[in-house]
Amino acid sequence: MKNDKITYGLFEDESADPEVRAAMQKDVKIPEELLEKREEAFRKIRDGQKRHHRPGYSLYARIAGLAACACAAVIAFSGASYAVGADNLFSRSFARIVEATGGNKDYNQRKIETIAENAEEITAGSSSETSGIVSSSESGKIPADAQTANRQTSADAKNISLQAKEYYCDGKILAVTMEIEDKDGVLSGYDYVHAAMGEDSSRNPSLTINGQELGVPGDFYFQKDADGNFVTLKEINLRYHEVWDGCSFPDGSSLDVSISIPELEAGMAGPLEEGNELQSRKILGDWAVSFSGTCRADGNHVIAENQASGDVMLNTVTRTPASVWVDLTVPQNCGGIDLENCGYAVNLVLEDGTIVQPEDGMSLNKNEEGISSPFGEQAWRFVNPSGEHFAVLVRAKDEQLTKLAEYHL
Amino acid sequence: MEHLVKRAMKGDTDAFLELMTQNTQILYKTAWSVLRNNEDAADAVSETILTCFEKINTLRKPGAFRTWMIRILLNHCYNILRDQAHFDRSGEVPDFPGSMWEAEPDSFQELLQDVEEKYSTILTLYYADELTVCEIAELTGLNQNTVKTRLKRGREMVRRSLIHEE
Repeated sequence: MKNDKITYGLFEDESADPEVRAAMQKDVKIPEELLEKREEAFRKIRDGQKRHHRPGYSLYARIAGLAACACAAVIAFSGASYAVGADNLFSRSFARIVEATGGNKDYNQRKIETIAENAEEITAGSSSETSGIVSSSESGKIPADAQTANRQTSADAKNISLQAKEYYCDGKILAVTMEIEDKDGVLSGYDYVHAAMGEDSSRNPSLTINGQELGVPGDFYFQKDADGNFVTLKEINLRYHEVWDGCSFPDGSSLDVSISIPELEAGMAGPLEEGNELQSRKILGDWAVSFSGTCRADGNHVIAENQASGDVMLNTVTRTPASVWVDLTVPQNCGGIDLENCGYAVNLVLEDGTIVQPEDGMSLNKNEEGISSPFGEQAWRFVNPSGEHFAVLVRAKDEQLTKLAEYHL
Repeated sequence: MEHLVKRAMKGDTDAFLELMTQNTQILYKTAWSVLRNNEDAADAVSETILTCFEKINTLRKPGAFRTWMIRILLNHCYNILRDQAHFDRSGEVPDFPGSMWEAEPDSFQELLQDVEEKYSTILTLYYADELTVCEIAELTGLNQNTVKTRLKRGREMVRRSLIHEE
């Protein structure tokens, strides 16, 4: 079912669609050379010349599917013993995700370390007011009395409870920690619980902030902790929603956050095994949690602005407690390259050679027609820059890199 | 098809081969839409079959098989194009796109022969492979609006071709 066609204005002319569809779906004669090569491949498989990859690969392969949504930087939380335990857990689980993405491992590891450093500072007594990290003893801890303010910080269904625990918001990102407790032990044999975006939109997780349902919130991936519960740190890119959904998150503004998860799927991290009935299990329910909070952007500082280099305009560089944001305007024809052509991506490269690729929804570019493309306004995010110098690169489909601009902050 | 995928994921070779036989049309059309000749398309499809066999036990959801298989196919197609670009630079005479096949009247190939690759691939993924805009965007690295724009333009080209045939 292609709901896309109903939803999008670009498909207004439906009259041609059945004709085109029928023509495109008509079977073609498979050429002999292809049939021969297919048979050759089949023979290699039958003869055992090709084998399945060893099961050990499967965990990373499974996590890799999550990476696009989940590899955004990790925010550490301070305070309660829960958070202390969770820091290590998140570091491990995100390290696995990072590893599954391949490449840039050192950089991603450094991102995790940066978060850990932040968390320690907060634990040591730094003020949450100046750091922007909201500790669990202050407003970052979703208060137990939230229920009295018409906020449902925990939800139960099928004897499985979902609880929102802590949040962090600096105006550019919102991160929430959540925990699943399984009272009947039906999840005890599983390694993770996943609330994924799927074909059936009625079963997808949803996110509402200040009464506005925001676009795709992405997957929620809960990792098992030492107590047998499942925990996650979900990061929401507010900058993305600012651009695409017209939301605004100024310092001191209130946040009313609602998260709904209608379906959970529990799974095992190991390889698929014949006859193992525990491989995965879907549980339908209605886990809806909500909480109120405050956006704290007073820890954000603009450290550079309005610098041109080559064809690229650096609008601002903003340091938040969690990361560094770079806002650029990249023209369509840049450095002699027409970025409209398929396969180009704009990346940043840090002083140590690390290439920073777009993270979850971080490429906020719109061209004059309001269509996303590798040019136009762009927002980038990275953590713990290795120096005060970075370059803007364009990466072609063949992986060739061309430097467009260079900045010294 | 899903029961075949499940069996193949559990190591049933016969199920896997049957699965790939059933998907040969999709594999061929998609590879052709990118590569525009049968020889390269045959190479891409055979490599895809072998890669899918090696990695099918890493597939997480049987329902995602088709998208996963096409992703692997596109990677092989792009590798072939990249290798050809390398040879082109080294002075070899490149094959002229379309010179290695003879289109049958009213065929898939004839329909797409005047459609640029960037449109024909998206059209094939959408109409022949029946992927959603979202899935195509993920597979190609394009954003959804670009996919939609290319679908619209590509469809207009195909429509003109259909009218011309009449």
